[in-house]
Amino acid sequence: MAIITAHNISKRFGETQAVDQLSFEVQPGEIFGLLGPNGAGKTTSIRMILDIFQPDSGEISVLDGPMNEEKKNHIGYMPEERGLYQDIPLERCLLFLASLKGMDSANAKSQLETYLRHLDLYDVRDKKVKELSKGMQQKAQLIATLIHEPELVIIDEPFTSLDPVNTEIVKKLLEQKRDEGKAIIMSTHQMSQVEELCNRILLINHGQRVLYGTLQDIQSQFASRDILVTPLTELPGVIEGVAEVKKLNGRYRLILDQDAQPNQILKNMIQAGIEITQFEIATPPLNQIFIEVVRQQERAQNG
Amino acid sequence: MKKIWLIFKAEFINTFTRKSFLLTLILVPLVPALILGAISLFSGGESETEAPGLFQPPQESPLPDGYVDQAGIISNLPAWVDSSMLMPFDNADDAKNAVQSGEISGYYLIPLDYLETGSISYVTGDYRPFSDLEKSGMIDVIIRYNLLGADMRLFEAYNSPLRVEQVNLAPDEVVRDQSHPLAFYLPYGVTMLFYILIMTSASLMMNSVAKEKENRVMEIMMSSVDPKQMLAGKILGLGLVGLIQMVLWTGSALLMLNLGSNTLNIPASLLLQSGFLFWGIIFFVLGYLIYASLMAGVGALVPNVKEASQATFYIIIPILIPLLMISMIIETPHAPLPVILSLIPLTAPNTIMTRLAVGAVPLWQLLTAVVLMILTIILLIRGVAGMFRAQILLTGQKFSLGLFIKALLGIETGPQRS
Repeated sequence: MAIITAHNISKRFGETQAVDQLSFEVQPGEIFGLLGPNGAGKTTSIRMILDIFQPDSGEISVLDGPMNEEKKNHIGYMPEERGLYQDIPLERCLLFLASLKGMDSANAKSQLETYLRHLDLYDVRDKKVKELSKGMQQKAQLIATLIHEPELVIIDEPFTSLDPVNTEIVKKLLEQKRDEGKAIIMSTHQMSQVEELCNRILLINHGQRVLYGTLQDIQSQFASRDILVTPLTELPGVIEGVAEVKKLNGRYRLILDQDAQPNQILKNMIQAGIEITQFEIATPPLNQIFIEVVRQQERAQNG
Repeated sequence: MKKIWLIFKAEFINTFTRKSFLLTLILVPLVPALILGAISLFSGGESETEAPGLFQPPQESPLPDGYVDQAGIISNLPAWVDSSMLMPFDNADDAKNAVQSGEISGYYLIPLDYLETGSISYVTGDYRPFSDLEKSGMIDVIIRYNLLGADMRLFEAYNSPLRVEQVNLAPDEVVRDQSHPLAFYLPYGVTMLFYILIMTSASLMMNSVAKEKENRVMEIMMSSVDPKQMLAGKILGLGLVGLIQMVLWTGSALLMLNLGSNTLNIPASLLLQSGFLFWGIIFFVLGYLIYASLMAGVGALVPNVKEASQATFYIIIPILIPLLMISMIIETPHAPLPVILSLIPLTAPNTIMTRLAVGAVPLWQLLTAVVLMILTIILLIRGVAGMFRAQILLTGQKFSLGLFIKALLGIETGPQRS
């Protein structure tokens, strides 16, 4: 059963149609990428899920039904604009935010200690939040989002201001939550992170759904019929079924004949005695798909 | 409901653990207490000692004066005249000799025909205008005293023939000595204290809301708590902080006044009436609720603490009005204007406390003010609760009074893009 079901939701602010007839579902045990250019309506959609804004039309079901105060205790939210109380010690700040999520103080304390140690913040727990570095504050924010073991986690740009080591720790943490069966909505502009983490994505622009589905499906939708090959030796000029061979940086891009199949090409190459270490169908990076789709839509709107 | 309690607790603890707050809380009553202590220490408990006047003539050598009473007027010196400083002489020659020998500095000659002419002369060796003026004053009093038959009671009645006792028709009015400096400064102090108390507590509220916007905790809060619960928790938590501050400050002020009434020689009629603290707490709580809701509204509307502080100016105008009219309120506490100011909810807390410090305020006025203030509070909290919603809390707008009033009335305003 879906954790979130949004059906034809719309929201308008004055002249701006922020979200326009948007429908999607988020399942338990998945990391769901919510993508889109700036101002596409991502944050408004998230706020509607959280009941901070009410949609003008359409329906949202969260954790099996409309949102209520009790359900807020089962949701963890890390907004794009990070915020913690700056003037109080880190530990008190996080315990307060945990208590607002309905955690009793003993449970909150023991969970907090685990998280603080895991994210290497235990030694600074008595420091005022404003004395912590940006990266530390971001990790603290992540604790505030996850400490109450929410069923639904919504995080906006989780990796900004994190160094590679911390990025890896946070990635692992998110994957662990997914494997525990939580639903995670991740909104980010870092497409490489999406490719690494997300099971499914929703790409919106001007508040409308542009792409929606599993990452694999979407990438294969946009896949060309090109093949990338890394041979041990130089490739011969002519390969059966290949119309053109382009030399890249140590690799080759093979552009196939109209009716040639990749499997057949691989067979042909092996029969021709070419030793290869890598053979893959060229899927376009998500980044490229993103740019292409958004541009297409802009052209369609302007034209 | 549980979350109201959590926010209440957090606001209370966060304020009370702030060093700046604790310092203010303790230092404000401590400083006057130390000053008071120092006064009583240095004056050794004696407060009647008169400070030397600025224009007092230089001290003369303590030579006495003499007098020659040819008219036989002076039969007796009043008890408060030091007889060794005014020596009688039988005739002018003896007195003259005494002046020349330096035994006395001069003598008064009351001639035989004094009762007809009314003039006496002072004979001295040199010319000293200031001391002479003073001296003629003294002999003048002695002659008056004797003309009245050396009867102290008659003399007193003659000097102040009537004592007008002011009887005010207002209930329980205690007649105050308006000439005593405290008659002004005590109500003035009370008003200032009350102004500071209400404004500091209400500002705590504004800061709390504006800081959450500035620190961007607001959105996390809104994904955890209903904004109305947030408002309620804040009002209660910071209200308790304010109340403790109020009781501590006012209590120590009252204590100091009572302890100091000996040291500073304060007449009993000037001391605060019983029940002052009771009404003080009531009007503080009501005043706090009015101004804290207004401040919460300001905090909700503006983007950061800086903008919020600038907006405070508009909010404090009503509470400043009684402060600006304080002389009038103290001198004529039952005139129409102070009464009207006592009934307008925004000016009531300060005006009423000033008047209570001067004397009693009729019960009907106290009760009417309370009822009107409660009604205002209900309306204000409704308006501000209406402002505690995402579209206002998650955006920030430059403060203007018009915008604020519109937002309070629930009229959609401004940029609402998320």
